[in-house]
Amino acid sequence: MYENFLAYRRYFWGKLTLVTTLVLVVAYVLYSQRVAPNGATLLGLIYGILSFLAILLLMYYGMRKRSYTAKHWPLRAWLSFHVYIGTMTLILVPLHAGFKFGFDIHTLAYVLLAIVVVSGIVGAALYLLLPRRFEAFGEELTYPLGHSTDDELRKIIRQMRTLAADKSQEFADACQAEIEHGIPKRHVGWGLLWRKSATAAAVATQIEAFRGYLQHIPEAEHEAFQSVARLATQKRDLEHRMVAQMRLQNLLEAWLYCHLPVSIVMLVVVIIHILVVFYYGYVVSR
Amino acid sequence: MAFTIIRHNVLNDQAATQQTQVAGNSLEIGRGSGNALLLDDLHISLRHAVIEYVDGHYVIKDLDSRGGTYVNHRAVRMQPLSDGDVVHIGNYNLRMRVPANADPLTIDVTREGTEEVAEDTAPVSYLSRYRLADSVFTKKRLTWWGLGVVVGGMIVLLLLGDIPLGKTVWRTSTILAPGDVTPAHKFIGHNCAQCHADAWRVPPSTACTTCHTGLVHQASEVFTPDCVTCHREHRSDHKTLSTIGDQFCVQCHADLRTKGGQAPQFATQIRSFDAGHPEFSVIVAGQNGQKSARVKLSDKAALRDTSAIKLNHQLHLTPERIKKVTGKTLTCTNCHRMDAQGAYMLPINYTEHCSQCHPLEFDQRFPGQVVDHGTQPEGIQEFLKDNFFTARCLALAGLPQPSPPVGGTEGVRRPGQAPSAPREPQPATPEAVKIRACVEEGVREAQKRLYTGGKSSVCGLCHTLQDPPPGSQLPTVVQPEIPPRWFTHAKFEHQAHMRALTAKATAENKNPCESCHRPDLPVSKSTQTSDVLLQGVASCQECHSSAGGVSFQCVTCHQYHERRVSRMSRP
Repeated sequence: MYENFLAYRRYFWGKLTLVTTLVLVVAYVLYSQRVAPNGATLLGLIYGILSFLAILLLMYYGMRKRSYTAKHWPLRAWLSFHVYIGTMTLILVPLHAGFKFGFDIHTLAYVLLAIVVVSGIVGAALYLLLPRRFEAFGEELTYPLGHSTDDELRKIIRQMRTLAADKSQEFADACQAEIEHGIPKRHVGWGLLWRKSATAAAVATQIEAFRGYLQHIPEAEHEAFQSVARLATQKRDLEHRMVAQMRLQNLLEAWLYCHLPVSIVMLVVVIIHILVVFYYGYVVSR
Repeated sequence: MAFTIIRHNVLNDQAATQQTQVAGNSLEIGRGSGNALLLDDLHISLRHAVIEYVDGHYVIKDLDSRGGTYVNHRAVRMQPLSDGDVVHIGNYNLRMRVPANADPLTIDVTREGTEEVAEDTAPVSYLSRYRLADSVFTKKRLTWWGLGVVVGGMIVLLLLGDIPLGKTVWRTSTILAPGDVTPAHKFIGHNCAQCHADAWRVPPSTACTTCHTGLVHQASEVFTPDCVTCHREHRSDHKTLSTIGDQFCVQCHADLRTKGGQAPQFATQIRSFDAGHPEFSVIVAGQNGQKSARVKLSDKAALRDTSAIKLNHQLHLTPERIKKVTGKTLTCTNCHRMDAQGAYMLPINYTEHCSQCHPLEFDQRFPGQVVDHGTQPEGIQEFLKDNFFTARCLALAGLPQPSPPVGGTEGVRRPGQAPSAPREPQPATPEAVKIRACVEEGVREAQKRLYTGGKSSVCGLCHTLQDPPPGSQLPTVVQPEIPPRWFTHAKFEHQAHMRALTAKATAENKNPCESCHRPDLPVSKSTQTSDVLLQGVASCQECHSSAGGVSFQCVTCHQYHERRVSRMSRP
């Protein structure tokens, strides 16, 4: 039976995260009764070290998912760990800092972490919700989407060119116009995220218009033009499908363009934070 | 009825056919595996079309497919099939051989485009226009740009300096600082160089001692740490720089040594308040010419309050007895009141705390007439002789009152006032002799009441009276020394302790003051003035320890920089 990554081993990482968070919060509350909480206290340092270790393990997931030969832990376990522990860091880091924020590099590190975690949560939600919509294409098992459709489109274009090779100028022009239609002149991947795809009715109207061009074609080429028209119908349909597929695929991937770069920047800022506080605390103050 | 499906394939450049029989009156066509005629083509819907045998005719129906169903190149929704018709579905051509009798419908299935087409002279890729990875904003570029913005931006901001934000200013110099300076140092602003003589270096102690002068710890300490060793700035959580961890104290006091090797004045192995802290000591004033000495609270034999005041706490706190005399009862707070900060007890004051019950009346004939508190007997005598009884005796004899003295308002010179102008010599008339005798008798009787009889005299009830010095007939009242604070090396807050102890003591129907003063000898049982009603370190450690849960850091009670507090210093 299919079990999503959040429910891995009966929500093992979810439960562990919940219990750990509760323990950390209770320890924080008790400790803060006696010592003003901040990152330099014993508990603050422990939370800081835990946060940094968590960040390193979360970053390691990016390497682990590319390692097909790794034997320790299945990838789904890593993903489950990644999502739950990543979410926990949103609480852990403020506990480390004693909920003190300012306009400085230390707070910047937390802001970047929050961006990474929130974008990760969005990504996890999309991964849980969007694949159901792949079923409309019958390509559930062929992610990334669009490759076969792209191959098919290129094949149709080649067929249309073959049919137009020895035909009249009207035939060739109509064929070339149809080939050029639908190929974006520039990159439109990001625009797909909020663009509505054309309706099937609109596509059918365009096809009828193309068929109406038959009257300009010499009669001897009518049968070939009917073949081109049929190929054009297929092409429009595939283009329509391609846009819908790539929109879904881009929705699935777009959050990664925030999640990954910001996580690298965040790691660098965290390292600067650690170097700075240790420099101030243990070099400058000595 | 039935259908015969003949598939024409090309396998390894060899033509091949595959024939299948399908029973039934309908034949479903589509890309889904549930169809009798499965056509593997993305242009074909999962359930695309169906051929049915209706009223002796084969009819093809389109099932709302995406790509449409064509018969002889014409799109159809429903169309009877004739022999030789070609149905186009996706890339497949289905040639119909419709039988004249009840034989099965034969369908020849061929796929278009299986033959090689011309080489693609102008390759086209839709994917590259749609794939996010092919846009300008790749993950790698975004990462480098992000790093550039953050790291480069930080450098630029540091170089730019202060940035006005409306009415406030954002000091970019604090981008890397662990926190803001403490409130007491806010006045320095962001003039970093005022403390940091060298950038990125710890401020020297001279940066602190410019303002904070005269701060020392112990002259005999082995080494003096830099100010910043203990006082950490730029920790925004610290409200004050005097919040010092025990480790800074213990680094010396765990193994205390002194400069020059003389014996340390304090305990030599203190690791924390609940580990190695010695018993509390108080300074007991020396008597009979002896020096004052530090005495531990555990040294019961030497521990005596030598304040030269007589007070029976038990008598004052026994409701039946005190009510019988005064008509009311007393509690600790009638006499012991905290200062405005709630830290220390204000000094006991005769006028405020004692005079109501202990008036200094000197003659029972004149109730309400009192002598001044705080004036030695000699001054009292002047008042009695020159003013009070003179006036009274003159009045008794029906003679006029003398003129009021300079500075006086009621014709009575108070102790401490300048003596009145010398009077004109009076002839020794019989009236004068009589008046002088009256005055001398009044003074004598008053002094007897005030000083004679030890504890039964007005003054001797509370004070120690020393024998008259040579050449005098009047005793000297020993000045009491009630210390405002007993522990001169520690600070204390009564109010905080009262808050913590009152609820518990009230629940146990006890006097909360007696939680500390003192468990083994409660105030209400103390009859001797010499009782030192302070508790030992063990009693404090019940709460101020790991087990007790109340703060027990060194700085909870102690201050590093010696304040030179004596036991008689006002807090």
